[in-house]
Amino acid sequence: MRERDWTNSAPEAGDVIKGPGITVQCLAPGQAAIISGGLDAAIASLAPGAAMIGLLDTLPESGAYALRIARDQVLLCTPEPFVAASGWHGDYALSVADDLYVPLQIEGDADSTFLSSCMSAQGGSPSAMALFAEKPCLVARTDGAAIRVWVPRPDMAEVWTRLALLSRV
Amino acid sequence: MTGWRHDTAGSRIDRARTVSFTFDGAEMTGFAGDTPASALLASGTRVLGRSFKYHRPRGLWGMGGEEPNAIFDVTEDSVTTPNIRATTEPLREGMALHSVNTAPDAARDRAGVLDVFDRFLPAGFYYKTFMAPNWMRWEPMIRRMAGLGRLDPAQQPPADTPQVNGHCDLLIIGAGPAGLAAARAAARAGREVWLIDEADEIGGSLRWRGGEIDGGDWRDFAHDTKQAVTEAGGRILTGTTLWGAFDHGLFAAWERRADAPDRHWRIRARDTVLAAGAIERPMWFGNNDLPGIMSAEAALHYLELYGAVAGRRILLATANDASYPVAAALAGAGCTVTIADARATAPDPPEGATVLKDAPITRARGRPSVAAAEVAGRWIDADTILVSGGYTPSVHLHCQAGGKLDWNAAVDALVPRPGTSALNVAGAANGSFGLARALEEGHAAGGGTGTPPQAASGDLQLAAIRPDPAQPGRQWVDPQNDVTLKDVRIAEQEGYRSVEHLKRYTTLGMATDQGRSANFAGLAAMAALTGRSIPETGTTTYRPPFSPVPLGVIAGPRRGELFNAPRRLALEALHKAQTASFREYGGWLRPAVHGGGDETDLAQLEARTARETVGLYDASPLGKIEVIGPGAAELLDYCGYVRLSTLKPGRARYGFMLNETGIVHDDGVVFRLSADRFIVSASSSHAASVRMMLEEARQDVFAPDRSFIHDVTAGFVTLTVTGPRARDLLRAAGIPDTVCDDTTLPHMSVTETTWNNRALRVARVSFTGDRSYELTVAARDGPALHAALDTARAEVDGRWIGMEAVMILRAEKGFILVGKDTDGLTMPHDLGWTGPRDKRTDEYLGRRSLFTPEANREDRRQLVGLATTNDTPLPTGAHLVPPEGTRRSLGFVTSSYFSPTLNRPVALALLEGGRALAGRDIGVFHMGETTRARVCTTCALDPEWERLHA
Amino acid sequence: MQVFTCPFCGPRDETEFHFAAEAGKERPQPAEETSDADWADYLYFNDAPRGPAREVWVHVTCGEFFLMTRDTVTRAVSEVAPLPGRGE
Repeated sequence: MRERDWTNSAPEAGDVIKGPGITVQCLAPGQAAIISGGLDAAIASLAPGAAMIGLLDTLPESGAYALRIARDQVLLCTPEPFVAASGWHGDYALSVADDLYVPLQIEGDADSTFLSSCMSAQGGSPSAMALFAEKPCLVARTDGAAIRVWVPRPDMAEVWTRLALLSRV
Repeated sequence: MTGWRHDTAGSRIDRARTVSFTFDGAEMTGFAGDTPASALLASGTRVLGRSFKYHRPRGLWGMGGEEPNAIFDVTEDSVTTPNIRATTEPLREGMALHSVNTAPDAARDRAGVLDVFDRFLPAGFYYKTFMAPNWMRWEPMIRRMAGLGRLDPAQQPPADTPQVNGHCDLLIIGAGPAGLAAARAAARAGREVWLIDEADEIGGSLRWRGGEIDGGDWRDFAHDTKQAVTEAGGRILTGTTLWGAFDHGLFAAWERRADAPDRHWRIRARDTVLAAGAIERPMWFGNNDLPGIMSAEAALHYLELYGAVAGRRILLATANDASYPVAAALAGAGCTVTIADARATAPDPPEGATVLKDAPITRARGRPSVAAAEVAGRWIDADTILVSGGYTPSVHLHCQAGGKLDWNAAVDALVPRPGTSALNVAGAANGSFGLARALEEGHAAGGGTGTPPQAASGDLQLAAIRPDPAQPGRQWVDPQNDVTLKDVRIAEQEGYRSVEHLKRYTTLGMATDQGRSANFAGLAAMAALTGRSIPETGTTTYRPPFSPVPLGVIAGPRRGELFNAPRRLALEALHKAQTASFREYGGWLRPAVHGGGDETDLAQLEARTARETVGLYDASPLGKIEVIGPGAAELLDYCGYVRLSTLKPGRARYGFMLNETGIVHDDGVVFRLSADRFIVSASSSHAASVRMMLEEARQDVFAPDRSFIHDVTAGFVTLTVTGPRARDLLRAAGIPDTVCDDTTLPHMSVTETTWNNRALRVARVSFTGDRSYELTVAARDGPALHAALDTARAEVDGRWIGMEAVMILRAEKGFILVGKDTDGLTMPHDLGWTGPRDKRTDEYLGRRSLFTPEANREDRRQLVGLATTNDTPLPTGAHLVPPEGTRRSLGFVTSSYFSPTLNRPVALALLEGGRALAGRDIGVFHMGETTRARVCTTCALDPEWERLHA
Repeated sequence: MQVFTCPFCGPRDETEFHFAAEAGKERPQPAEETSDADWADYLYFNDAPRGPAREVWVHVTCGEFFLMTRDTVTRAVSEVAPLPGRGE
């Protein structure tokens, strides 16, 4: 029996999908860590002032932000490399997770139909984690009204292929 | 040839643009804006298909999704799409229409002779006649003669239907007068309205019935409504079939688009208005299925929208006032119209038409198309019979959403019982006929206050029309599935009196029109036969879809590369460059072997090299679940079979995770990096479920703020170096000897270090039985590590090996894969891991289940090795049977490979009481033959474990 | 497609959720002193009521285990609550 072939591949940072009105760009992952437990204490010590971002919330123009995953867990994204090591830090747990997710950005989706073809969850939810293209992704907006999605790295090829297909239709 | 095209009528067609098409090979033309149905009607073509069972000629009946007869296979660009409804598809240039269920064509179908034998083919005939064992003989013939369109193997519809999630404030289903009034009222109040209609323009029945609203043309009203909806941020979706109501207020809609792929909408709304209108009922008389007998409403529809006129000499059989405007329009178009009204008191005939009162229609005749009708005992010549047996409200979505129905005698129909579904029903769907009432109800349903839009119309006056099973002649109830009133009678006689039984015994209402024109007659006839009322008889259950929907629309993009896609390695491109061929292993696409040629030979070569020098493989899918916090050790002690709180930082331990029934859920190595940080290296395919089991225990059993679980598997690349020269390779790759010498990093230990300023974790664990190192870096550093190891590989004559070779290496050592070498009954002691069961006194997940009578049985299936003198590996999955005597399954072969190092096959198996049978022979039963194998220990290679330190 | 409400994240499609366990079922403690029959009862016998059912579900995307009461006939969800001690 011949097994199925997967000839698609994950994009590299800078790769772009251009559809009618829609542009999807693959971005380079920055520095990130999963942090659990005392979130306020963790943010105060690691990235003071970092905003807590829920589903489709707007990201700050610059600086660090914490993408909320769960009641007691965030993905803290910072412009600078992390100084804290993975482990227990007194009141919070930290795991370096720079490459766990690959970010991509969607622009031009004026009436949100494209986003709606990827996701059913709606903004206003404190957790930025939702099923996007059937995968658990973190989803936020940028200041410029683009959508930014953090896709689990092993699922990126599939998500990218799906977005390419959806952008054409 | 009786239908014709009116010179001026037809609001939908563009006479300047002709469209050429063929029907059963004959060349024809229509106009842009036509449907195949309207173009064929205007062309005078009468016989459009043959019925399912008797191959009776069938013509056009309706105007939309209720059409049972005009269903075609449509060829465009040499690809054929089966079962296209001629009434709902736009006519396109070059379309080739083929009638279905006919040979050679609709007009000359050879199997029409079956009709002569109809008295031998009643309901249930197939059930009673073509039974096993002879069914096999009959089936191909029956299948060839029955059924509808034919599948075209070249038809590979693209998987490009987006599944769009829609949210709105008010969803309105149906853009007829009630829907428009609701939309206008709601939009004016600032609500976000989505207005959906199956037709490709709004207006519903206004489009052919016309009407004045608030003193102006209805089109002005429709235009205002459209504007109000758009301005309030709403959406109007035409050409969109709302086909199903589902749990928690989800609606599914199929949007057809001319120049783009269709879209499938999943809509949730705060409120929903159902304004789906009503569908005209047929009448029941002898030969009521002849081509040329048509719904009166449809005839008006075709005249007004397409200028297609059903005939010239028309008999209109009715018992309601709504048919009179139809007669007026047809008379105005130049037809000779006689109204046969079953009522004794009927309105005056419109100009140009005559009316017969107290004149029920009893029979029709003509071959192949209608020529005359028997009315009140007298035959009247007619080339066309239009009928109106009343109207059935389209309550489907109300009922799909759980709604109940009430009988409303005034309109002779089942109507929605208020408050039984979440839908607010308005207009004809609610049994409220007439423009004024539709507007009034729609206005209210849209939350409108003040005066509703005004129109001059009264309530619908009608008399009930019922099928009379006592009347002679064949009266069709379901024309597509060839169900007659006689069949209903047979079903009743044989005890199938429930409507659900009636449906299944006669196939009534199972046709592609979803029984829209047939169900009422079926239940009315059954009610008459059993002496029950219609509400007592009840209806069959309404289920989605409302209209047939292509499966591709529902499937969306989930096909091909997007169908259950495996997860992908970060270094996939680099493995491809090393000529890897890939396969799916536990949900991940991983290299199987490298290089060209026979896969088995390549795997042998790779496995041998790994034993002789070094093998390298990508082990990134191995779970990297970090468990961090002061409660981490306690949590892992509870969730694991092997105690982990006693593990020293920097060391690793192999163990199992059981579920509460004591069954092995996963195996793997746990690393302790520090007092309060562990990494659970769950097996590749179980990482997600292991994470959830840990989460459940953390949240539900322990204090959730004392330990935390981070699954960071996907963020890292792990490359494994295994073999006698593994350490040489690491040295050559620039990994300091101080990190990986046997004192700092003995077997089963782990260290975190840096390599070229990159964080590197080195673990000394082995899945092959040879000295092995697992090197883990962030995914972004994976290519650099890969390059360094690859360069060093050449110095030690190593190879990149794929999972096929890894499978051989681990099987030689008797290392298991959970789920392959274990099943849903395997407990740790079945695998020989009895220590914790015997010694642990603290509580852990699944512990109690290890001491039940079942767990204590002597004859449990245990993991054993099998040796064979044969050169061919035992077939995986072969059953183990007693060597002598009665054959019964004692277990099965779970893993089996040829070992290039031992130069003989090795195998693992689960065998009843297996360990006690060591050294004895067992039968191996496969494909009817029994061979022999000897039960042995699971570890076939290096039982002294010397290679680990070589 | 049902909509469930995670006590933390709010309403989401049912595809983001998994059933975990029947709620209120106490694990017999100490388990080793539990009879085989009681243990089997704990493992294998669920109420599966017709009507309101109290269950533990997990919101897979955020990982929260929580209590949900839903009607197995009408599918109406009447209550969701965090596990004891989990709510803020």
